[in-house]
Amino acid sequence: MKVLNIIESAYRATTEEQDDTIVWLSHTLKAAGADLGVLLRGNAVNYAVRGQDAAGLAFGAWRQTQPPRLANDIAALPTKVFRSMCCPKTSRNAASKQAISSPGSSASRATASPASSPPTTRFGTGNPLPLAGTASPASADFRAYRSALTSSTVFCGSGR
Amino acid sequence: MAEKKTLTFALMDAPYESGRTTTALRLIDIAARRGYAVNVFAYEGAVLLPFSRQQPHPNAVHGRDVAEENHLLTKEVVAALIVEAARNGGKLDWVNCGLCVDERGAGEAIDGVRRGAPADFWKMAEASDNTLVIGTR
Repeated sequence: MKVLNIIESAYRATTEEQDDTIVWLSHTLKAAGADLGVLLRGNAVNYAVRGQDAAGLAFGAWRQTQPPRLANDIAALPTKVFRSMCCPKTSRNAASKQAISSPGSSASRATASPASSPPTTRFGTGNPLPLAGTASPASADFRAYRSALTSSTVFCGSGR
Repeated sequence: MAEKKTLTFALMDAPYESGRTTTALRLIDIAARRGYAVNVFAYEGAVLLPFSRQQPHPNAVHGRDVAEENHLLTKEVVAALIVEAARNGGKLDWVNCGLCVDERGAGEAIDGVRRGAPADFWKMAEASDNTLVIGTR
């Protein structure tokens, strides 16, 4: 069974958890044998941005020594069978909905004009893409994965 | 010398559920460093912030054992804030809503946390220079 794990709610308690719990869950399920794909959507596309630095959190004499390193956690996902994908800004909603509702389809708005909708991030600073293992929904990687979905099992992060 | 203010915070989010909690605790940290009198009324899930039975854990995904992971425990943060406020001549008075504690079985809190009721929050707010309620969503 293939699973597409869509992550949209971003930075929800990541400083307390020292990671994103749904990215962590993806690692764990993959290690348990699940055939998983991850789609970063909405604000969560920023997880693929290198150069994020949450270090320095302190309360009184207490210091956080292991801040979340979300880009590292994304990059560490096994990339051959477990692809992280960032939706192009201009078509991310259509692309992701289509990926869920019609897994057998080979066409989407995203695939129709990939050159006009390059991967981007809402926060858009630093050195966003590509991380190893990331791909756009416009890419052949995403189309191949979507076509291979035989089940609509989808995990999503908690709501905002 | 800067004026020593009295501030009251009402928190509602449970630990490990929202970035709002981290932000609230950072605000309280600033007030504690300034030696302010800080009141916190923990309502609903926030009563678990100083729950004394929180335990750190290793993290296999990160490849770190329990010591290396050094997981953030909110009970330790609350304890550090209580100490910091006292060290700077202020005080952090943390009040857990008693009924919220009971329904969650969260009665075991760290030292410095006391049980109270919404009436305590009202009294604290009346005696404060300002009150900030950070509600859950």
